[in-house]
Amino acid sequence: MHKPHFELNWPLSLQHIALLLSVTLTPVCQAGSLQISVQEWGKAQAVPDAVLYLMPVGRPAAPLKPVRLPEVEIDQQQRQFVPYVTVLQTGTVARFPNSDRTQHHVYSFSPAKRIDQKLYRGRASKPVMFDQPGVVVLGCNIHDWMLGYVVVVDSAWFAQTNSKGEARISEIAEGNYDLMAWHPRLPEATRIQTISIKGNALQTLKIPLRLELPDPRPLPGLSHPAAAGY
Amino acid sequence: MKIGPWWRSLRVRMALMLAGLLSLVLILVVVLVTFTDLRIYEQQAARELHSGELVFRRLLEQNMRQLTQSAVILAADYGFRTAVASQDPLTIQSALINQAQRSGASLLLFTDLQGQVIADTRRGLEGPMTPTRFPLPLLLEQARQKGRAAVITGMQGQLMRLVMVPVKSPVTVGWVTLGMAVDHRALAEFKSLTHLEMSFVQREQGWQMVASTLQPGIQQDLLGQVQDWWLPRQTVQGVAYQSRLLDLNVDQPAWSVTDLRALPQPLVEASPAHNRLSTNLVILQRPLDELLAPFRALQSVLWWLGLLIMMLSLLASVYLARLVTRPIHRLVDLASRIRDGDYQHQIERPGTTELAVLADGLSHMQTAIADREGKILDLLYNDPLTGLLNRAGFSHTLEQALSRPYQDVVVVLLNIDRFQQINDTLGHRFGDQVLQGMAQALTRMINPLKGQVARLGGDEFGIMLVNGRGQLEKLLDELTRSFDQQQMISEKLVDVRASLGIAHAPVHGGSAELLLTCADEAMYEAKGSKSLVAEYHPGKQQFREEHLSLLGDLRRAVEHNELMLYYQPKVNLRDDSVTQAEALIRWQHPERGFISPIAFIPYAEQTGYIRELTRWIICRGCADAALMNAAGKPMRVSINISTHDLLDPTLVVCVEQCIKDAGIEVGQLCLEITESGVMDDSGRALDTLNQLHQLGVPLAIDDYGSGYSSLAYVRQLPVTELKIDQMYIRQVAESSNDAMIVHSTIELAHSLGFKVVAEGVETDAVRQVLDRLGCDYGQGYFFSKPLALDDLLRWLGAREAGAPSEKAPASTSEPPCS
Repeated sequence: MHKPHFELNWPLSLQHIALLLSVTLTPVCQAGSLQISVQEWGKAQAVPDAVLYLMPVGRPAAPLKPVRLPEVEIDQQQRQFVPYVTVLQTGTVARFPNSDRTQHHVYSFSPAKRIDQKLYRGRASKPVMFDQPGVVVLGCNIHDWMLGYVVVVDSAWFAQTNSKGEARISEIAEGNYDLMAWHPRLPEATRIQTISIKGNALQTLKIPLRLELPDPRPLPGLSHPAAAGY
Repeated sequence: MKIGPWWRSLRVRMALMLAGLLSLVLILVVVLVTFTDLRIYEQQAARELHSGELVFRRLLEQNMRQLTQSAVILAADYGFRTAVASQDPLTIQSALINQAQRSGASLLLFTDLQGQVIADTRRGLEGPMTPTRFPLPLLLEQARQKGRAAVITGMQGQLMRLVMVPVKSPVTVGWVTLGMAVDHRALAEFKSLTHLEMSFVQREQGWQMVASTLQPGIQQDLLGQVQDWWLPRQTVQGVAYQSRLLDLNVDQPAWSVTDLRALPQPLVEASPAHNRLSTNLVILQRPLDELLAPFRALQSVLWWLGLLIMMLSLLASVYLARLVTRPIHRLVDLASRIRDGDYQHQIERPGTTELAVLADGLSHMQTAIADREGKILDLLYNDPLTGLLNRAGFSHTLEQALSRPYQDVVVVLLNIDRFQQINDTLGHRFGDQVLQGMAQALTRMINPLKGQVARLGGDEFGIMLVNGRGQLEKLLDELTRSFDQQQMISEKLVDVRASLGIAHAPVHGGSAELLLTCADEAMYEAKGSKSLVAEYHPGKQQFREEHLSLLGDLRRAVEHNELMLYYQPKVNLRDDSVTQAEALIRWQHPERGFISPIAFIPYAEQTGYIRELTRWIICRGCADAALMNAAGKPMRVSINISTHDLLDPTLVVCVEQCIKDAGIEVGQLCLEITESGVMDDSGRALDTLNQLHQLGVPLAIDDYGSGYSSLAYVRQLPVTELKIDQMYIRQVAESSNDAMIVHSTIELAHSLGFKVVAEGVETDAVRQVLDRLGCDYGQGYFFSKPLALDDLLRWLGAREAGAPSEKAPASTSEPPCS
């Protein structure tokens, strides 16, 4: 999943200059970019694992990229889902390769996608097609503390903040979009603001996010609700 | 002796003070011990309550932890989560019921993230599946904040433990609430573990009892006490408890007074800021009875001990007090003995120094008083001439003898015959010697008989013998023998004789005075009958008993004019005229009828009332004389007066006054005196007679010949008339002897210038003899019996009318007496 980002990021400086030129010179049908950094509301603290995506306003989004979507892997390492949060476009297929030596029993009761798949070591898992938008919460029936999110969006323009809270969405077609944000500590996906994309311009945004919920991940170690007393 | 109230006594005061002080100390000790012990037991109860609370909390915590674990396991069940994920209420409900059956939970709820109860095991599978609001929003709130929540609360009348845990799949999709009822077994277990009573109360429109280890009846009582204020001590149906209030919502031990008003209102109104889920209170109670049992035992031992000590101290103080008061009582007793005249009592010297001094003082006082009283008694009771007791002493001794019961007491009254003559002829000195000789003789006779001799006055002696009838015979024998011999006194031989009167107690009287009177009467009887001895005749007792009432009657008689004067005429034997009459008193008693003067005159003489009587007679006599004058029959009225009257210095004045008041001549009143009357105390009697004589009142000697007076003696008296005693007159016609005596008496009297009156003229023969012998007047039944005034006047009238031829007519002018 890192690959497409690199592909996008490499020509960044050239594109940046071109975008600036196109904006100042002639409006040509070109792709814009968004550089977003997400911080926690009221705190100068970067928020990782935030999902940002753009929903076209007024018309269905016309994909610039080819329709064939890449296959995504959600691995199981050290009895954790890696990555913790995965964002993908509707119709994307994901696999659960299981790098652990233990078995897992991945499940999801989320309406967007029901999953009930036992993962054995060394045996290829069945690919799962996420065909409906929504948040799919992944759990393991063997290891209660394992938690992972798959955010399925009806959009080709999405990104996910890194550990510094930064994300970039590129090759955005001209038009008006709603910038949406999602995070495990938000009750649902939230519209941040409307973005207008023109030409190859690179817009920079700083988004404060009010994280209402506690971190749903259990504390590290063999934490168990009963151990904390009542 | 006046004795104050009992509490003023020294003994009581000492006892009270000692016992009071001890009681005070005891009470202080008991109070101190009580308070200290109570504090100790209170603290112990508090400690037990505190540890009870710890146990309670620990148990609850463990319990809740287990419950939470169950709930967590339940919530993590994959099947259950699958059911939840189905979002079909009926499926969820069925899954819940399934879980409840598995876990044995009393209650299971599934609540979604919005706080709506989706499923509830209480609903069953039939009812509507309408979501409702979760009933314990604060529990939900806490679960949201902390990931889980637990509470113990009353729910539908049951004490319920509730835990709330999230359903994670794997993020929280809802909440499961697991409820487990607390049954009575758990409560009983807690009670047996801690010995504490536990009650769970809840405020929901007033306080309600949810569960309790107390008996159901007591529960309501306790609930009644859970009001606004809570006190750590309460009594529920007579059982005292110390208690501790646990607020299950707030970690704050409710010790001492808790203001329940500060607790939040019922659940729905509670503000989350207080972090309180409900107003659930647990009351832990320690019954003090069993805790206090040893203390109560100690207390009762203390009280009994106190009582014992108090009694002992009371006894000790009584004993102590008696150490002081008993000798004092003895001294008081001694003092009252001294007061009563007992000086013989030997005092026991008390051990206490001060009291010993007091006792010595009393003892000396006793001796001194005895000495002085002895001297006074000597003066009072003894006759200086003979050394015998005097009348007062004799009376005293006699009374003492009489006061001892069951004793015969004999009183002998001895009167020396003719002592006056001895005195007159041989001199007073000799008379005294006669008396002394008699005293010695009597003493000599009486001493071996253990009797008492006294000189009662003049020539009268009294002898008292106790229990001695036989001794009396002996005494009389001895006296008779001694009287038969002539006594040698001052080298002169004299013939001393005496008359004796005897009275016995208690037969003749119970008092000294009565006995002496009886003996006196008997003695006079003896004298009269010229015998040596006469015993008091009980037949006269009746007569004497009347005296007392007679005296009262006599006074009344004088006041009510029951008395009247009868007149017996004296007839002039020369000319048969009647110009004199003797007034004789008559008493017509309203109840007893006629009472003879012999019945009351002696008694009047004894009591001294004779003086008043005499005055009355004199006045009435004078008044009657005035009436006679008025009737044209002037008479000389003769009135008898007694020795007592002669000793009365006011008699003369009285006579003078009466004569003046009546308006009669002085010579119309003649006073007659018995010869014995003049013999006694002749000095003063003679004075009176002289004064009367000077006044011009004629005087006569009555009953001449009954005594021992000689004409030579009578000659000295200022009298003009002699009345010869009737005992010489009655036989004068038959006895030449008597005629001779009467004749010589008349001759002598005439030669001395006296008129002679003969009393007791009952026959004409007597009258003729008297006439022949030269007697001047005659008086008696032959002429007339005593007559009332009217009858007398009538008699005089008839005599004047019927017998004028017999003698020369009576001259109205009376020959003067003098």
